[in-house]
Amino acid sequence: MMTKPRKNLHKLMASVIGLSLLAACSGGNAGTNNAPSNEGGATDPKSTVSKEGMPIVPEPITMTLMAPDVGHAKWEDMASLKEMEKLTNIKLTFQNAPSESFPTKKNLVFASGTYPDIFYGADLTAAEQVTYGDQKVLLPLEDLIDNYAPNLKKILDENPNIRKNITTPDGHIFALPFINSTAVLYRNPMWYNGAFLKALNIKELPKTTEEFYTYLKRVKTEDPNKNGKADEIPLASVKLTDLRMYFMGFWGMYNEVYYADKAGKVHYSPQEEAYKGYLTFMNKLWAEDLLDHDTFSQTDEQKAAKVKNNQVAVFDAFHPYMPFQVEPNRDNPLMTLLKSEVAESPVYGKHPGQSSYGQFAISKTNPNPEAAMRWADYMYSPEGALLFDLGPEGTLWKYTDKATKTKEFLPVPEGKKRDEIRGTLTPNYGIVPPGINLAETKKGLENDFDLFFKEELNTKIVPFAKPPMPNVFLTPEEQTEITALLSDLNPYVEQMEAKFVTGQEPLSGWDKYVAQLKKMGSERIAEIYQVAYDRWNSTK
Amino acid sequence: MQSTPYPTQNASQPESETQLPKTTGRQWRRIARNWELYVFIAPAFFYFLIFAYGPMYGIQIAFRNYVPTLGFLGSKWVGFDHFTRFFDSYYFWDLIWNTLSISFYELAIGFPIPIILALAFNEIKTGFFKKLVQTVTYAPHFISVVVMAGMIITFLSPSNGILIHMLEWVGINPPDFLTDPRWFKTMYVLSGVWQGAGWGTIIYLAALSGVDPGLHEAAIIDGASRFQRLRHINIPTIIPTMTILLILNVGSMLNIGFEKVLLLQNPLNMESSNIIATFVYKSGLVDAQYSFSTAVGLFNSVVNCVLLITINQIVRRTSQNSLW
Repeated sequence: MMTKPRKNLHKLMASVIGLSLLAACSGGNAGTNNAPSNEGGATDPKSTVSKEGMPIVPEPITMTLMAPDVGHAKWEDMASLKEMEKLTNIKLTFQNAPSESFPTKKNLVFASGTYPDIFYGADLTAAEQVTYGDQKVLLPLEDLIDNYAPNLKKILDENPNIRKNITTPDGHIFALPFINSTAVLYRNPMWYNGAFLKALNIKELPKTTEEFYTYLKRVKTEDPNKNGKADEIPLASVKLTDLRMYFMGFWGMYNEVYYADKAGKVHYSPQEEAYKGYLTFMNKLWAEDLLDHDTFSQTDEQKAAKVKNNQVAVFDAFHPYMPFQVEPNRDNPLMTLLKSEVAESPVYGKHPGQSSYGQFAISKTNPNPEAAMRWADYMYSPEGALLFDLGPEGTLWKYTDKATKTKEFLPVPEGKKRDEIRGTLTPNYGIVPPGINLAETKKGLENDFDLFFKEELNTKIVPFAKPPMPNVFLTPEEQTEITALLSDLNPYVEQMEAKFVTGQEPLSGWDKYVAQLKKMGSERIAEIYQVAYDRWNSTK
Repeated sequence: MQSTPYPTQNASQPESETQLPKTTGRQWRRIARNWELYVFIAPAFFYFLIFAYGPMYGIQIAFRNYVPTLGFLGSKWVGFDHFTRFFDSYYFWDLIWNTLSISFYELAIGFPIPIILALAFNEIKTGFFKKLVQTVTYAPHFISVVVMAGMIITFLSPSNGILIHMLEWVGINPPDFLTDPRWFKTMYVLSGVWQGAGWGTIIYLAALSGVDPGLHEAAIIDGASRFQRLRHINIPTIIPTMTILLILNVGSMLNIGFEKVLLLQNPLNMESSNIIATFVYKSGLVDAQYSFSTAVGLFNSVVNCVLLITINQIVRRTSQNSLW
């Protein structure tokens, strides 16, 4: 009794499915045919966009902006963006995603076919710029820069290296960088807990890996936080990602995946003999409980709690007072780079001068690319850099002498931190925005800590630093191969690093590990990047 | 039932073909006569059509080098390239083994425990105690996966986890549950039991409430012990429910709680926590290799389907219950 009506239903379902498939097919066709027709806007300059001066457009226009967000305030309410809207006549609607999930969101947006008008602080990797530029999702910007970006054009003309770094192999510029010629760091450096140094009466910071080991050993056994408990954690980390690059420099490697050495030879770090030195040392720290045994299972919050609790001797932070949640001070010195058994050590992978990533891009569906370019160009002017770094005058700061651009900070309301307020005024907080870092922005505002920070970097890091690799672009074919190779290699390397460090895999397994890497195609990484590096070197 | 106007089983092939249009007409008339039933089923039907069958159109990107701007049909056809890459991958056997072993482990532990628990609940007579125990066992079900993973990590932290301290207190030297690959699967399965077992009893309790009290009375008069009544009355009553749930569990076996595995994963336990679903997520959404991850996902679905059909066959042969 049951079977027959069911058979009916099956037939009905089958036919409907068939129909729906047909419908879906034709739908897909329509979609792909429509796509290219949107491109016209790029080359057709709108006469209403003024080439200089504000406002950019006489009649208000609206654009959608996609950006990562650290959640301090709604972007709609930020004083800098409101001021910018008043100035330019361009109203923005925001598509924000939390910064930790932004890379995923970005991929989804690129795959969805519906793009925001502009990408802001979006960290478009070289791979993404090439891929989506090649697919014509991102507009080529070089003509727009020449015609609608006087500030940026001036910077690029004065610094041909920057132009070289943002130009893809086929001569296009798809994304704009954050230019920071004074930048040294692009990862958090490591710091010593000053209270521990004082308690153990350390006059001179460790200079070699051996001395460093001895210091950590003393932290472990001599109770430098004086609470009578052996709760000190000499070195804290989350999955080693926070200290890896800093520490690999002690064995002469500039970066964790690939880098060019001083002679211009490209290396794939995880199969270098030097990398084995790094693993051996970290394994020793682990075995003697000097490296936190929660390293591979804890979260960032758990680690931060331990630092704040005054349990940790060496930790990573952008500014060393931040994890302690106190006002800026000179108490905690920067970790000196350590010399190891490797002759050419230590080294440091320095920030390449402008952010290696694309922080601003215009999508092909933007109806007003000229206006968008002028909007972005403002970030590269002194006024724009100031507005987006510190907010409009009268919120956080005021001029003491407008002619020399000298400023002072306004008093901060009780119970608030200046940096937190800044996070509610401008979007350029916790993300890397497009724009430029100019000395005059901070004129008169530098405090004692800023001077200390600069001094620490200049004496301890700068003499050993070199960018690991210029911003080389790969061709789409090279890029596809690299993506496939690295998506296979990276998890294996990460897994084996953890095993070697914790001793789950003895270091005698090194040769087997290198053989497996080679089997997975690791040698192609250095080869491909060598070609790209040589190509970069030969362009003018 | 006798009046169903279908060609009989022994009708010859050509005959049934010529009768086809006529049959279709009669079917439509039948549908029209019972239209209310079809209205009832329509929402579910369209749900599956739109959200389960419709998107299958996109599976073709597993056989292409998918480029979003070129669309599904415009992207280059590469056949089985992505499948070959997956089969040759260093991770292939690890992925298969982890996915299958976690699934079977979960099924072996997670399937019987709710049954035992339900039978036990059914024996509790006092109202307050019964309600208390049930509420306590149901409660973890309502904790979201993210919070659950956070709790597991905090409780099992080698330096200050509460469970670790408890083990140390009773004199056991605790293993590194979070980072030792040998413990990952047990940790995953047992925390799943803790979270899901109580909730899983509900359907069995419903089945048990259908037992005719007369049967128990008769058994008591015959001098049957509690355990004998459990064995000969309660268990046979819930066997049909058990078989159906078993088949359903097997059907979704390879769709292991992906979020939980991902949240508990770390480089040290990767060799036993890397499963197909997390691999698809990483290669597809993080690395943006859409075609490759679709191929891997499709492979997962095919294996799932084969498993479901196999179990269904086995169950049909051994008992009278089956999905189809």
